[in-house]
Amino acid sequence: MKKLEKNIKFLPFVGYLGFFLMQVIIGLLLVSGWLPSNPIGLTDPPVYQPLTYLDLLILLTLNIPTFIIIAIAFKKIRDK
Amino acid sequence: MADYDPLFYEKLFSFIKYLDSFRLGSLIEIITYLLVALLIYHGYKKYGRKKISLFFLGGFLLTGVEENFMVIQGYFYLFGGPTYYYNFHSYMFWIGAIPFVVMCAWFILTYSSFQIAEIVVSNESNKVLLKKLILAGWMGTSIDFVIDPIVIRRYAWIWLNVKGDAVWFLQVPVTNFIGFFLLVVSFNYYFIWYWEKYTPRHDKWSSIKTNGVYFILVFLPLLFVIGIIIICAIVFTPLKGIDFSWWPWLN
Repeated sequence: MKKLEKNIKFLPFVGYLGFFLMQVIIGLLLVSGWLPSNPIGLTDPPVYQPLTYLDLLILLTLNIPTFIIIAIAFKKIRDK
Repeated sequence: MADYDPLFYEKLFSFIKYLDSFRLGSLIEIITYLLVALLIYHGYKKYGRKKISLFFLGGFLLTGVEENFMVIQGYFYLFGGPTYYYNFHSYMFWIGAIPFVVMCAWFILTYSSFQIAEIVVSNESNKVLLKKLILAGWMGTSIDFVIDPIVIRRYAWIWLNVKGDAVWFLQVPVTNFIGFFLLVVSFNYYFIWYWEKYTPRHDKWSSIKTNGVYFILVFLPLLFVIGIIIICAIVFTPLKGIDFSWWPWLN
């Protein structure tokens, strides 16, 4: 608990990056076929073009400005 | 063509829709709840009980009402036809037509994005608040770029818009991203306005009265966002279903 108190300023990073990482892992599992899409409960499921690793890479590239913002914020708060 | 759950209306008011929604995939929901708990703890330590409660519950009300409105009005064809709905089999707990975890995820993005933006933007710079709001809005929306194309392929929610009536990005309507950006920006702005400008001017009021006003006025950003989305939908319709995905150039 004491450690949590000390590192409390990093919790927004944990929240944001934790959530982000979770989505990326789901994406990777989906593309690799380890997490099959199961249209449970849908009588006529919509047809989607399957995502590829390249699609995932481009989606992550769109997040480069966000990574830069996070890196700046992280550096600032660590130096405080 | 995809359609609503056959028991959509019958199950609308159930907190748990189908028992098969409790499975390994629910781990994602549990992790999301844990992240919410961590951020609430952060808010409690930094701002105190009252402020973080208002932020969480205000955001919860705003997203709950906004998303329920968008889904239910689509189901009843109130404004031009079906919009989208969440698959009743994909989530454990529900408030109306919206999974509980969706509102929690919205809190994670709104709160953590603004906290990070606050660290980055120096308080001595010009237009501090505007910069913070835009940064937070961008950060929230940029995660959404990743979430939506992945999650729709897991059939966790289904877009029902007519292809020719929307502008698309990886089979997700672009208005979804615009709406998400505006919700993050407008709610953060509303909360700061309420906490820093409105509350000090009414410090003689009881907290029940000021909190009541807060939960009523939270619908202002909601009306703003819905208004902009309707304008976007009108503007986008003549574009007849342009898809901004990169597939045509890669395949």
